Amino acid sequence: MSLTEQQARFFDLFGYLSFPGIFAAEAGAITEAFEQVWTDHGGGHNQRAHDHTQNSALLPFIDQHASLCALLDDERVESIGSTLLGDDFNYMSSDGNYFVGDTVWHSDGYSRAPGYCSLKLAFYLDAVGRDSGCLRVVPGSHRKGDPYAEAVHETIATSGSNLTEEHWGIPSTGVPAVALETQPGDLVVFNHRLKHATFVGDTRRRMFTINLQQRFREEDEALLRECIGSLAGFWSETVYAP
Amino acid sequence: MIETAGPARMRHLEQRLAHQDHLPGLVAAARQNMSEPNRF
Repeated sequence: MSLTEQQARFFDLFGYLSFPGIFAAEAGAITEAFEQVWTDHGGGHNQRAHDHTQNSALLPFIDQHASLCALLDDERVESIGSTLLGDDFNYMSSDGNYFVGDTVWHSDGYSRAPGYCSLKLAFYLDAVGRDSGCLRVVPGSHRKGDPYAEAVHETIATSGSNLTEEHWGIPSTGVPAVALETQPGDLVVFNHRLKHATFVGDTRRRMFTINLQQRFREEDEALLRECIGSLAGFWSETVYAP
Repeated sequence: MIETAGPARMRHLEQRLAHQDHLPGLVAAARQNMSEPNRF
C-alpha cells in the first residue's frame, strides 16, 4: 500500500486521513489481542477492573502483545509513517483505552516539539457514530501559527479549558467538525496538534493508538528528551516494553 | 517490542531508546505526586 500525493496533501492541509476497512481482515484478531492485553493487566486502569465511570488507559500498549507489536512492521503502518513523517520516523508509544462518555476538545500537544510532526493511528474496535463516541476533528486546526488554528486554539486549547460558550455562544458539541464514523477494521490517522473530541458513547469503548513522530535532529536532543519525559505521567519507566 | 524487533523495526526505536535515561527518575517523582497513572 502506498499513500497517494493527494492523501499526503490532504493530511498536510486538514490534519487527518481516514482509511475505511484497511484492517478489516485482521479486525477480529486485533480485538482479541487487545482484550488479552487488558486481561493480563487486571482488566482496567492501574491493574484494577474497568469500572465504567472513568476511562481506563494503559501505556505502552501494543508492546504488550507480539501480534500488536508486529503492527509496527506492517507495510500499511510503515507506508503511512514513511510518507507523512519520513522513512526514519520514530515509534513514540501507544496506548490502549476503554473510554467512558465524552472527551472534550483538545490537542495531543499543540505546542510540544515545535517544528516536528507527530501523528496518531487510531484503531476503534467498536462501531461508533457521530452521537455514539466517534472521533470528531476540526480540519486545519493543527496548523500552529496559522491565524485560524491559533483562534481555534484560544477557545479549545485543552480538555480542561473549553470556552465555546464564552467565545462562540455554542456548546462543545456544536463546534463545526468532521465526524469520523468508523467500523472495526477502519483506521483514522491524525496530527497530534489537531483539535479533536468525542461525544456521548457508552462506557467501554475500545480503542488503541500507535503514535509516530519525525526523527529528531541531533541539535534537538533536548526536545526529544522532553517528549520522552512526558511518558512519566503514565508511570512508564522505559519508552518501550521488552 | 524490543525482543522481537528486526532491523526495520529497530530503526524506529533506536533514537528514543538512546535518550530515555532520565525517565525512571521522572517516574519516581510522578509516583510521589500521583495516586494513579494518567488516564486520557
